[in-house]
Amino acid sequence: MTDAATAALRRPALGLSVEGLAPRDELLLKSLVRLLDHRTQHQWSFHAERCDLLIAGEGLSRLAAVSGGAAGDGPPPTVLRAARAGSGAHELSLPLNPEVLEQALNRAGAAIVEARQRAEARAAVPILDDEQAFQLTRWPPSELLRGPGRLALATLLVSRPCTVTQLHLRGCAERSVCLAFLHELQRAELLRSDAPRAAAASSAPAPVPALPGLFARIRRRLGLRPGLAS
Amino acid sequence: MNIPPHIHAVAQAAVDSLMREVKGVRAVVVSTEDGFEVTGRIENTAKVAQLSAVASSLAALGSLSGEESNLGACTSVTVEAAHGHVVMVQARHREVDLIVSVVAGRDAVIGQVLYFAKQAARTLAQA
Amino acid sequence: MIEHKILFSGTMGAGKTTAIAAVSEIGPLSTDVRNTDASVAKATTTVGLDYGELTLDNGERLRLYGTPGQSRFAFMWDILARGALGLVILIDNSRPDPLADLDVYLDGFADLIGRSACVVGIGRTETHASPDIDAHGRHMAARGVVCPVLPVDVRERAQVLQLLDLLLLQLESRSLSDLRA
Repeated sequence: MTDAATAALRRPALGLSVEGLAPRDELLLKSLVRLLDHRTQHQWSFHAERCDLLIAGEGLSRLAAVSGGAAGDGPPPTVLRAARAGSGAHELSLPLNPEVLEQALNRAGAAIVEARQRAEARAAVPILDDEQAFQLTRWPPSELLRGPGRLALATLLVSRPCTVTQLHLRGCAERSVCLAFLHELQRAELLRSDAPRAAAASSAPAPVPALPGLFARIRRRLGLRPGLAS
Repeated sequence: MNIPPHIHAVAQAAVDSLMREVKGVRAVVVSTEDGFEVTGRIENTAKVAQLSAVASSLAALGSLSGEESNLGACTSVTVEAAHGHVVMVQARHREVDLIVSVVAGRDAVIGQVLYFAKQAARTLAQA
Repeated sequence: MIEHKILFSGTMGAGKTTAIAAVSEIGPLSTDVRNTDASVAKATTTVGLDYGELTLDNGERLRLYGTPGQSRFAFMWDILARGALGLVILIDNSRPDPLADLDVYLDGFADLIGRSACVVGIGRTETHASPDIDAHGRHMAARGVVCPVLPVDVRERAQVLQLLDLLLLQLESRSLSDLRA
């Protein structure tokens, strides 16, 4: 696998569109986005189904007319205004500078990804049963990890989507402890959820091939407590 | 670290001499032991930095293998490849430890490359 | 004999050699040479690798490799990452831009992180609290990487073992078949 392909697998894919820029500025912008693709922290596409970021030039008179996503679904896109110096408030100065554009795209992309994750977390169903599998969207702050076994539970929620019961069995923690932890994570908007089968298909990482009993042998040698049953 | 000018001059002279006088030599680089280039002649200037870093790693691994084999300090590492050799020789100057790396094609006589590379390293060590 | 590998990487001075020494059954082998980079206040630097090992109870060997920290030795990262079970990244929070440092290793080991497991240890947080652990976690999530990140003092064997415990937990979890509820 090439470095570019590997990085592309990890970078969130976001949609980008341009309106209201002079043709030459628009052409330069599109060229720069392509050229910067190996450096930006997100994979920007002008042909994505939904528009996450709109770069709006002075030719776009009514930002309120902007609609988001396919068929108007989803939140409206974030807008970056591009203009020449002295032309009023804007986030991106013209003529475009590659480094400035890269930084602006990274900032906007990070904000969009975080907002998307918060929205997913808010839409989470109550943690009542095993019809949902949960996974962390980022490593929790230290204050959420205080409490017996929480470090291990959080690590399990990083590795693959887990239902409450899977977390209880794999993490060797009481079901009530798992539920309490999941509730706190959900309140902190750190969880995403999906039906277990869908979660297994889409977001679980590739299984790690290993000799049977290898990790248990490593644990014994290091003097660590036994891990998950294989 | 700034390499003292007199060491730099001797290194440059060593590079020029090896390129000029040893048949089959394609490139010569003098670098610090921790992988920074001092001077060199190679087809692509970007490769000078690469070869400096690679030579640093290989020389260090050579030292490790020599020690682990109870053979003493490593003086040089030779890599034999399909189309030639890369020879890396340690040059231990009192102010800075250097590595002389010589890339030679199949038309070079490896013994001759080693001889002149070691001679260059001795000259550098005494600069 | 079957051999396995865990990789330690991270910034110069973050404690890779120390971490390996804390758990290795042999005194770690190292390829440290005098540092000539005046911008880094460290007398020596690793230019090849650090090496430690553990023998498991069936004779298999677990090799612990430490990589050079500086990105000009990234070719060694690729070589050492081949076949590794997982990666421990150690970051020195006293450096000017620890988040930028973290990016270097997230990028440099993207392939290994994607196919395996990773844990990040942040050192010197007791004297350099910013960026805090949460900031590191957020930064990694924005880069598409979610893995354990915690403060660590690699001079304490127990803390190094905790990093390895969390690495193993991820690997075990991903090697399980679906657990029937």
